[in-house]
Amino acid sequence: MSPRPLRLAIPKGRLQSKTLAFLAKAGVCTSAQLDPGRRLVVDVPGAEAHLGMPLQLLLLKTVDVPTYVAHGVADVGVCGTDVLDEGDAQVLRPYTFPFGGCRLAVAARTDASDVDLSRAPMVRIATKYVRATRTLASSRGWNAEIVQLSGSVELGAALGLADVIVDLVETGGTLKANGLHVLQYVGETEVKLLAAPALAGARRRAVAKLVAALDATKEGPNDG
Amino acid sequence: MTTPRFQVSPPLSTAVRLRRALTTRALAALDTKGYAEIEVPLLAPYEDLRTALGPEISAQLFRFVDRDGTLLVLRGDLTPLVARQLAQVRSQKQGPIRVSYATRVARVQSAFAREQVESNELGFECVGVQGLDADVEVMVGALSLLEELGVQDAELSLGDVRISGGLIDAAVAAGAERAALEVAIAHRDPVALTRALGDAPKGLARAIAPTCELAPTAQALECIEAAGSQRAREGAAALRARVRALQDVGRGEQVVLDLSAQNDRGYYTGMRFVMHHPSFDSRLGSGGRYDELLSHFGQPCPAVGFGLSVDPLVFAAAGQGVTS
Repeated sequence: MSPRPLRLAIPKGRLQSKTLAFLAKAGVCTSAQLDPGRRLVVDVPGAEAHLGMPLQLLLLKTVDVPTYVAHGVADVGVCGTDVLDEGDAQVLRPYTFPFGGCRLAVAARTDASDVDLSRAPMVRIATKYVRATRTLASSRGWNAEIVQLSGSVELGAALGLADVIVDLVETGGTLKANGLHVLQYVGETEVKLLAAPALAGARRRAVAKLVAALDATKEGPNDG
Repeated sequence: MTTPRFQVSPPLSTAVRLRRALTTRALAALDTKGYAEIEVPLLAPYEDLRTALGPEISAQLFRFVDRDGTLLVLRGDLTPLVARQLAQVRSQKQGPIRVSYATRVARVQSAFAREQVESNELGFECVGVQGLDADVEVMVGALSLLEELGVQDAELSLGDVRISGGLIDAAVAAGAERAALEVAIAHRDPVALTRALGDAPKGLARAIAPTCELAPTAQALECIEAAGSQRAREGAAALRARVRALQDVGRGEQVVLDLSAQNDRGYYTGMRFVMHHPSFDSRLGSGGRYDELLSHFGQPCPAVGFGLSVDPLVFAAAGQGVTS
């Protein structure tokens, strides 16, 4: 039985195109443009020459990337630390990408008076990041009720479901468009290359080559 | 046996037959090498083990109270239980003791964790023998054991806990935060490592950087030997010697360096190794030297051992169509 290709799990959407462009820049693949159609497993042209084995992309929902890597079904993956830190995935994080970084912020309605979270008897916080928010509230001494949402978190504060939200902020445009503003920035997230912890043999060497190729772009946070 | 990944459990009776066959074969092979089979107790008083267990292992043990109010632990990590037994033997008999065992363990795991709550494990320990020869005996024994069970060309990731431990101690003395360093190294995350090091001296930062490499070379050991602490340099020298010794016995092709090895169980003192194979998506087994563990039970004595989980091998055999 011939060994299967090296598998890279990437989130569908915005990170997909940025990851492919960066892989092409690193010389790992010959084209940043892939047209998978409705396929979820896609061969990456030109990768074998660089990595020593063929490369396949698995197009997944972001939250599933760590799962596939931790179980070894994908050898590597691309994922933000916001998703990683919400789960318990046992994965390695050998590279940090120079794109996709965001800040985690507490935001509230612009037309409401600012909430002093440390003095409020109770504050309801809507968020996708329950674990991070719970840790934050505990460390800051907030008396918080956390409401979990899975998307469009801005509406949680805009429509009065919650007093404030905790969410990722890139430019602040979505917050502003929905009548919210940042009260305080409380953390930062990065996009990491994940690696399966039980890599061995040719796969381990291929992933080491992938990391070396990414490092060689000299664009990572440690190269600043 | 080539071992395609096999994800679905075999029928119960097949799994039982295969496990019994593999375990019998393993214990017989170990017996020919002088490792006599012992039984490991199912339960032990937590108070007997408390000082011997690291916090990570303690958190994984099922604990409960018996009718007299004594806190007991269920068999979860076999090495401390075996060490406790062998300390009693050592009190009456000096000289090397070699034992093997095969039994079921249960650990508390988070819902996401890769390992099952219960698993079937087997292993062997060599107590009362210090140094290079015993370490090589155990590592070669681990590779041979896997071959006996049909896994050819396993990869041995070899490290020494004194390397990361010594470097982390030096960085902490320079103002870095220990927990952040340990997590960064465990994740092989160079950016997190740089942040955790803060204003640590550049020489130390250069020495500790290879702990995050996926495929470190012998040159990385030179950085550690040039700028690492005394403890880290001892670990690097010991690691070099073990790699050379494995090369001398023809096992060099199966060894890779792992400079990230940490004392994850709380009792390792030197050599630490993990076994992998490209056809398996989880580690096959692990082992190392634990020279201070028996002293917790009143019998200071060097020791080294290895343990593996039988279940992935059962799955692989079933996936090959083997039924007995």
